[in-house]
Amino acid sequence: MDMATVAVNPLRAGMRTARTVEPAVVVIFGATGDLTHRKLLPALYNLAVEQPLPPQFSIVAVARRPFTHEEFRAQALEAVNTYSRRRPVSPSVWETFSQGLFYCQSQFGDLHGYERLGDLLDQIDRERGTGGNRIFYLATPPSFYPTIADLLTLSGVSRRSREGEPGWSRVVIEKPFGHDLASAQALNAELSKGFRESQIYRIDHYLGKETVQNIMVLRFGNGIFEPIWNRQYVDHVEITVAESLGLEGRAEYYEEAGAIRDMIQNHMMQLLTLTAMEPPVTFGADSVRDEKVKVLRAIPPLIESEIAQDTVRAQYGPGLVGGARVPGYTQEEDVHPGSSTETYVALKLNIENWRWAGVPFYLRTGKRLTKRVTEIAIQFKRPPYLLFQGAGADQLESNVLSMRIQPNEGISLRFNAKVPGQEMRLQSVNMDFLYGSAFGKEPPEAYERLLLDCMLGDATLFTRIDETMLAWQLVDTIEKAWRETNAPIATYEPGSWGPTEADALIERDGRTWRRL
Amino acid sequence: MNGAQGPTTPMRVVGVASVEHELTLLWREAASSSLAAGGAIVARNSVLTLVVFAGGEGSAPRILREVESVTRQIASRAVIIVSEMGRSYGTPFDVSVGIAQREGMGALGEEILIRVSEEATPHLPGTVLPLILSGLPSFLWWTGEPPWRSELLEALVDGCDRMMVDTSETAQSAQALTALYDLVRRKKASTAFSDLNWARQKPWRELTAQFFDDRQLLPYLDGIDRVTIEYAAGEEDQPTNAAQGHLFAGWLASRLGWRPFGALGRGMDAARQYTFVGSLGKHIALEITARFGVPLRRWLDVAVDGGAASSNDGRQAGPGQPTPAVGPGALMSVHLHASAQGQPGSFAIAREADLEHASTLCQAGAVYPSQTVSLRALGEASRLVDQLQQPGHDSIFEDALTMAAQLTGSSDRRRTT
Repeated sequence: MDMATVAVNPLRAGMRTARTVEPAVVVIFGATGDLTHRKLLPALYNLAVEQPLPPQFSIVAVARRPFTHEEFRAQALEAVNTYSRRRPVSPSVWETFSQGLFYCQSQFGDLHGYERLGDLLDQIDRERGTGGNRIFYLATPPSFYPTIADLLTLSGVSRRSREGEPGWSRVVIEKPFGHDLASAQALNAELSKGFRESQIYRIDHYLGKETVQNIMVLRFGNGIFEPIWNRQYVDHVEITVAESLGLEGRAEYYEEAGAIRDMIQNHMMQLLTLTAMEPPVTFGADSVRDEKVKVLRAIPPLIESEIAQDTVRAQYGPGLVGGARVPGYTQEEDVHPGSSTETYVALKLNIENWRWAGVPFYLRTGKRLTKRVTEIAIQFKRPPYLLFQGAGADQLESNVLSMRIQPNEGISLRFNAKVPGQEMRLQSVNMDFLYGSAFGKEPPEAYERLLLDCMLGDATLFTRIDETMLAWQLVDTIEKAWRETNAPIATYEPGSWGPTEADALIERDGRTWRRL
Repeated sequence: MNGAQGPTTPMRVVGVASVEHELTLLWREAASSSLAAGGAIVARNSVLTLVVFAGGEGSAPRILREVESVTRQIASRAVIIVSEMGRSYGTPFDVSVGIAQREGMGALGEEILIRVSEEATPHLPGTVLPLILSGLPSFLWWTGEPPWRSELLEALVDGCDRMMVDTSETAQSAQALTALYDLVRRKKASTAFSDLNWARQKPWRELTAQFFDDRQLLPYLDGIDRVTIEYAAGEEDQPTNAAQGHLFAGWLASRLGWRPFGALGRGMDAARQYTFVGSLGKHIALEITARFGVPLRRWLDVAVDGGAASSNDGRQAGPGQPTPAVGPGALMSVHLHASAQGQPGSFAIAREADLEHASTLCQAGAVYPSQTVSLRALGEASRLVDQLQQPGHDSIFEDALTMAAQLTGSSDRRRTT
């Protein structure tokens, strides 16, 4: 966290919102897009209602279409009234919130537009006391990121980010950060002309989820898990991110990305590193991210033969889901009929460090699977069953600690118990903890948490450049091998748990995927 | 359960000794029926025990609804005590049990309702305390005016980790603050305390603190010379409740290192003036005054009805909806006057006419943008459920209470002399 937060206000002592937001302007590029309307504006309004944000707080929306401030305020009101969890909007709160809402029309590649934006920001600084503090949120299609980064610097709009000048600037970038290692490096180089690494916030909304943050609390806030969280006790780890839906109108993006870029490079690597990392010294941004990076560094570079054996890619074919006929991936609208984009990936990774050597991590993700579920399962080693021979012990399953990220967020521990009766018979039972039932509190949306953290200058829940690059390196290696070896793409039934090849991948090691 | 809303199972009358057994049976039944219906997993999680002294039969239904809102949201055990002077139920303890459920979540919390005949009241702790789940946090919520210094209260306080009172429900707020301070002082080694009235005031403290988050305005904190706190009161011939006003004053003074000066309070009950000496030796005049004619309702009812509001955020009341109201003694406005480097500054928060929103005004060198917030969304309608997630002692509250009791104690002494 930087020193932007005020720590000397004695009235703040003991308050829930001990971290306070300094007056600032959030500049949203792509202001008329879906992300802005569905997530960003509602999240900012919710923060204004609940936090509260300082009265000087302002928003400038930048987009290509011509609107007046008033017209955009009306659109924003409709968006918040439709998507905010605090809907309907309170007219009194909206009145003062909307006074800080402005619109700036500009093509993303038009330098003059950035000059107009700079003038507007200066005017807001003068009239509303925002002190030159700015957050530039890039909510545009990724192809615009380099242009916007370049022109923010060229126009001088990001100038206040330089040392010695009043105010601060931060830039928030949505995923995907590049589409491979080379493009990520190029984008970063462009951003680095105007922003230092500490000012760049790469967003992965998974990290804003309460249950993802709870992984760290479960591991490091309890005395009983960490001592057994290693290769001496853990047999293997399974991470599943399954979606029941198909493309949902995102064919153009998905054709380029595929499951490996859409899920593995970001969300699943986050889950993997949070599960496998060493305890950080503090919850400070660099302490946590240092430990995550160490995990990625401990994954040995994959060679072609390993990729052929330890990865599976697949596409869903046509079929029936819930009694309704659904098209196969290549029959989906806007998908090339000969497309080889994968909608499913399974892979096995090893982490060669003292904690995890010899413990495989199995990852699987896909679209049109049986159900929507995200889960991390720590599968412990089997105890010696000789003692219970004849009591059904050979049929017993190992202990499993599963962390359910969505839906029904919670933690479940599977253990063995004696079946009541005269005989010694054992059976596996589950001890369940449901997040929602223990705390009757609606958690904030992921975007609310992440926007607030960015305003506070806390980058703990954002990905650092070395994390991003290491993840791309892994994904690039796999992709390259698939491409160069013409790796076959399997097919699977929609509504199933994926292709039989994925079953074979784990069964080869004498294990099976969990039935979820 | 009487007054029950939603899917709480019908309460089952049981003997005192078989409470645990009957609850286990109820959970098993809930698990089987949920399984048969393909519903959610029924997990008997528990994170706390809540013991509620609900008062007599007249107020019990309202309190029971509030408790149900807790057991539907938090996996917990609630032990509710209904006790009325002169009332007998034919048995010393009339006990019934049930479990509460929330749609889509299966069964969640369990409720034990104990109606106590008057003659058995002294024996209540022996029946209630064994029902507290061991190893988990336990809370005692005493609704209405607690019988300060009584054996019953002391025994129940000793058996719980946290006691919650509501000074807005007390007839004599000055005496209540003094008595609460006395209880906290004697029991704080083993029990933490909270006042729902303090919790409701949180938005006012947040907004006040927010003025001074701006580094340019921070120096004004040392230059405060006048504070006016206004609280809601009903008709002029009705007693007022100045607990919130005094707690707010106590908070300001304790956080800013002010010391009461001289003979302390003066003026009538409805308008009390105090003088403090600030950390730099400057005198501060502080006034706590009643604003009469404000529609009042119990905070419990305001929280449920939403006062004027129909929505979360307080849209205007429509036809047939309750008129706007606040709880007794709700803060109506806070005004700080200060100076820094010769520049005067004025910092004000005022409740809007709808009673649900407040607007800020800040003039210090420049005019800062005003802000209107929903007090309800920021926690003025703080429910019991929010208080159950407070861990340990709230030292800020205890400091504010100590100062408030010092102020009201001096008022009491003046009245009695």
